[in-house]
Amino acid sequence: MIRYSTTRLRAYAATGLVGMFGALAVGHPEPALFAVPMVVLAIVGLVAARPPEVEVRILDAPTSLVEGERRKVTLVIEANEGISELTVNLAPAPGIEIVGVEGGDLVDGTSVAVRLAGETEIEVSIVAQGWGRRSLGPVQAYVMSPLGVVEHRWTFEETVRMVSIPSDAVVNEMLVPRDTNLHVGDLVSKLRGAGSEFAELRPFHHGDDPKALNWRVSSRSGSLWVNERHPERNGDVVLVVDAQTQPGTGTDILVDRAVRLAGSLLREYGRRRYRLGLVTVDGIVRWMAPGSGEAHRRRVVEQLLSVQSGDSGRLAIERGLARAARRPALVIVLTPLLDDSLAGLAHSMRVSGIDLAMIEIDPIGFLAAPTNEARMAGRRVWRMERERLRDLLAGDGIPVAPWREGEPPDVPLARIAGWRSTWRLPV
Amino acid sequence: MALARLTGLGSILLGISLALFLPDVDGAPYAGLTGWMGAALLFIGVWFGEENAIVFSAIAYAIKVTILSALTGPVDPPVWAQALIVVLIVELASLSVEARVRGRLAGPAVTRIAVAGLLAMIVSVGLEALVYGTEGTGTGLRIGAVAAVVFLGGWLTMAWRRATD
Repeated sequence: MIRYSTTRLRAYAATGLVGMFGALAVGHPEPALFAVPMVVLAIVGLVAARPPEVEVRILDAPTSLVEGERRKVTLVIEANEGISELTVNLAPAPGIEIVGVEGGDLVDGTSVAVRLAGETEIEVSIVAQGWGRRSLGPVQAYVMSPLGVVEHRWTFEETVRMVSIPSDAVVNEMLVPRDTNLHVGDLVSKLRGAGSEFAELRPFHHGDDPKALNWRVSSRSGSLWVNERHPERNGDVVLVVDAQTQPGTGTDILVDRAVRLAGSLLREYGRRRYRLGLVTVDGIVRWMAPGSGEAHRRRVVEQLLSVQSGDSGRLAIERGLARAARRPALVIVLTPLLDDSLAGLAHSMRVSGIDLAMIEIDPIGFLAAPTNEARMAGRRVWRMERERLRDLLAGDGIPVAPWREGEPPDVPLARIAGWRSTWRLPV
Repeated sequence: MALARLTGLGSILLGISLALFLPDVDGAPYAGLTGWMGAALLFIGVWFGEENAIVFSAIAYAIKVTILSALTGPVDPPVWAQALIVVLIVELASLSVEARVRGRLAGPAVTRIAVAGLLAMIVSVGLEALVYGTEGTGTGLRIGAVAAVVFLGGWLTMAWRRATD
């Protein structure tokens, strides 16, 4: 607890001193008569300012919230008798906005003035702006002494940490991996095994399950035939988020878009019980191999939300991709294609047989228009180089779909899905 | 914010009214100048949330009383009224700044201002009566002085015992 003087105490003490010295200087009692009430107020105020006991606890707070969603944080305030008013500063981190309070008055967007009556509970409504890591606290409480000459301040170190998940349009168009893994799921595998999807007929072999016999075909052909089926299996999806942009160049919006799209994809793939993996390429290459479960999903989201602009070395990217992006996973790369090295690595992965798709976070719409002829020519050359790169990747069997400003995320996904349904790997 | 605006406006109006009152004697413009300086500082303090400006504003009003007391004739407005107004100015201006930063509930704030104003007025009026009423014999002054010494001694003893408990 810290105790410090307020404006009142300083004003009364200073006025009292000036009045006393003034009375001595001019030799009249009036300045002293003026000064004494001030001094009395200061002294009485100090005597009455006994240190109170206050406790503020955060009872309930969300650990994750969707951007723009309104959630409640519950605080419990305990104070000894005689304290009627208290101010609590919740110290919300940038990106957390306090939009309402039940049981108090919101002040200045960060503080709550509370009228105390024993153990008091207040509910604070918060809204997260943007995505990323957020926090609330450490909470500070302020109590004014009865005459307001002293203020007591407490700092409670308890801090609530939470993640704000980007909210975007629902993704309806999903890319399905060509190969499935060995876990049970909703996808029809190319393999044969126990399942419900009919694959083909074959002659009966010793050891086959009699339940698989196709009696109609067997009776017509005069020999035993069995149905073969495709098993239902799960798919692995690995998202690669390329945040290799230069900070301060206005291209941070590309990272923002990539993270938002990745968040939507993770949500939708998670809802369909795919095993999810993530490789984030910014200043540090971090990777998570495909996995499932709530804990894994939370780790993936937390890693995604810590993405920032930055450059990584080619070797680090290669190591991260080699560990996380393995067959039979479908690897979806979200990249602005500003760095050729990722395109080179995509080529290597495709050659090694990994199923790959690329969504190009198109930077053209976010760049300033060229101001002179030379810059315009440079811009044209750069666009041609990007087109050539896209063609090269498409030739390798990597569909590249640009995601332009204003387009819903379904558009590039539908382009890739269409491309994948028609394109065949050259033999 | 309504409380902050109301109290801020109230303090500025009180500051201006205190600066406006001047007796018609030689040297009064000096007191007037000091009073207007106090009002200006008060305005800066309330408008920009500068707490030190409020302190200096109160000091300016104390200097004004000192100048007025050195002039011929009685101090106008009376000292108790000036003390009361300065206390109200300090209370309202401080509350205005605090309400903007921390937020304050109106009920306890009004009670606090009323208690402070009443205490200041009682002390000031009592002292005036004591000083001007005892000029002839000095008996009342002696009684008051002894009572003050007893009160101060008692308070010091109480404070010392609390500190050593």
